[in-house]
Amino acid sequence: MSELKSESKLEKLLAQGEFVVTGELGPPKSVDMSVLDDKIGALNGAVDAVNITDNQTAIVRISSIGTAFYIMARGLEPVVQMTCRDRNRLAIQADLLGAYLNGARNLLCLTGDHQSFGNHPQAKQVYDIDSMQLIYMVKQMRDEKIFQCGEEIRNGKKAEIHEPRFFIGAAANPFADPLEWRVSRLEKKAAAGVDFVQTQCVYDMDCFRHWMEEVVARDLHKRVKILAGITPIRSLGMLRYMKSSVAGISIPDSLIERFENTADVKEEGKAFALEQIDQFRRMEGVAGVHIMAIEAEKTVRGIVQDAGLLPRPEAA
Amino acid sequence: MIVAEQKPINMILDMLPENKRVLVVGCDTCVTVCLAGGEKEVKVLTAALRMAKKEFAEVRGLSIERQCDGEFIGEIREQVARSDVVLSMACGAGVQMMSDFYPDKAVLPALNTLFMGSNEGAGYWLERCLGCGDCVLDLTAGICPRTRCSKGLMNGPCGGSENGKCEVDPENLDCGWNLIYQRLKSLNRLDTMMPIRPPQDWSKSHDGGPRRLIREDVKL
Amino acid sequence: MSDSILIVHCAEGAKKALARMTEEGYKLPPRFKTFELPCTGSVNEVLLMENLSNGAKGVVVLGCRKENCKHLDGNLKAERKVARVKRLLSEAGAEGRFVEMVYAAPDEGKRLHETLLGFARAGEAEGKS
Repeated sequence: MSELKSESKLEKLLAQGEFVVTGELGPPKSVDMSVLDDKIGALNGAVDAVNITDNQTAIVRISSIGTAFYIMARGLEPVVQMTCRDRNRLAIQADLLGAYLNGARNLLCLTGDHQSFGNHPQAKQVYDIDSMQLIYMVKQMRDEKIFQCGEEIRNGKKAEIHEPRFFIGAAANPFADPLEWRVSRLEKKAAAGVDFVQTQCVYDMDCFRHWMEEVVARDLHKRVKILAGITPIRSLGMLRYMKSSVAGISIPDSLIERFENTADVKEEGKAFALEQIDQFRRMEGVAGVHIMAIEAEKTVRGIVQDAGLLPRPEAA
Repeated sequence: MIVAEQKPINMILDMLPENKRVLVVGCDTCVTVCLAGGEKEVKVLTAALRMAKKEFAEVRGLSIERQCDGEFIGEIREQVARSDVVLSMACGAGVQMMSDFYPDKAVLPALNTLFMGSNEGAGYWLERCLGCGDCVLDLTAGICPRTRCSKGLMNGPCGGSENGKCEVDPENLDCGWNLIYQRLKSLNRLDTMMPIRPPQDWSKSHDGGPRRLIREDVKL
Repeated sequence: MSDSILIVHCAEGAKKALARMTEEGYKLPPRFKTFELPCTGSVNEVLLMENLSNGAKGVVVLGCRKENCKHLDGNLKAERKVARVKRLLSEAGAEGRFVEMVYAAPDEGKRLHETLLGFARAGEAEGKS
């Protein structure tokens, strides 16, 4: 029997020991999916799989699952994102069955931004379960073949069991507080059954390195594939905004200085991203990179190419 | 205690029918302590209604010990009989019980009931308890993960915790899970943070249906 | 509603200011009544609202000069209560009535007199419009 859990391309590449590259896409805010065509074109062949965000920052968009079908039909492998904010355990499990049926295999289990950030702050929040419980629930569905309530995943007493088998992912944030707890939180997610994690975008390489050292010391990298997140810097304003207004992102002053003193911020941003990828490839325990270039998807191919990571490998 | 605050007076005026006899009824228990519906507040609101733009036939005010207890509601029977409308300054439980006792009168809420909480200092009340029916305070060093965490997580903190604050309001809101973590750490009980807490049984909270508590041993 | 205006004043700086005002020959018309408290800090909304709803046209809370409250910050506390009552009167649409906070310096008899009469006149103008 294959050791692979989901047989997704991402899982296979990681099992083959490849340094993987994942990207990210935000679905449209209307039922016009064609606006994604350019982005799909930009990412196809440049990355191994693409995260599809799910009502990110609590702003209503086409669901991650709905969008995943569209990109699968166009040859891109999705990483479906599932947040806990909008759905209870019934809806989540039902959506997962539907997603799997239609070909989705990679699943990122997230808590979800608080609805006060988005365009429907008056909505009732759900959080019936949290991301940790979600990971465990999806693992139970796959490995124990049961629903969260304990019932077997079969159509009737005499029917065969047909369980959804996802490659289970989660987010990891080495920079959020309490800092000393963050590796333990990853350990907890590993115990819950996570197969891979994508980190929050890294700007503070020292802090990240320190986190990875602790991760490796606990052998967590052997249980969980770790993809380091990067968001290429495109403007000084963006960098400053993230430093002042976005929780859980650490930006060293030295980096701000570097970008204040450069003539071409975009070029410098790409150069920094390439430095980061190079360092990640040399870092023990880092199995790949997750490039979050929302609204700048066209820049991804250039970065991956200049990092020497093209063409992307085939899954065996 | 139950914490509530008065509705804006223009909303109260909108609710009240013109030219009627209004009885403002306060409560001497929870809403007195949170300065929303006690004797003093009854006097202030009664005075405001007497001076308001909208005309009423009569505005009278009084306060009873508790509006969530029939014993005290029954005491004002005659006063209610002489009114057309009762404006209750109690919490939602009190308003409803008043309405059950005097179903032929319009009983209106002057307050918005907010939460079960504690008085943290002069003029400051904090939500503490959701009444989820399944208390886990033994696992979280006496800090509730449902109320103190904006997302009600059982396995927090999430990635939005920074400098001990919650990203929902980084200036004013403490990250509940950071509070739990720090206290567990000081109690040498960080081991409590490692086991994965299973999903809550929401059927014990209001989600399971309107709740009742019955004690057979106490019934007459 | 009558035309009476109630001056709620403290026993310290405000009392001295009123006394000074009288000594200097500035008299208040009979519609002005006074009510003494140890400190304006003990003013509460019930006092203000009940006097108004019982017929007073206005209530003036007269305390010591801002930094000079003999009980530390009683006058500042009073100002917050006055502000709350002002809002309430406005939101309830209580026409023609007013509540004001005045910080009195014991040596400014003439100014105090003008301020108080000013409230009375403004009240009248409002009543006429």
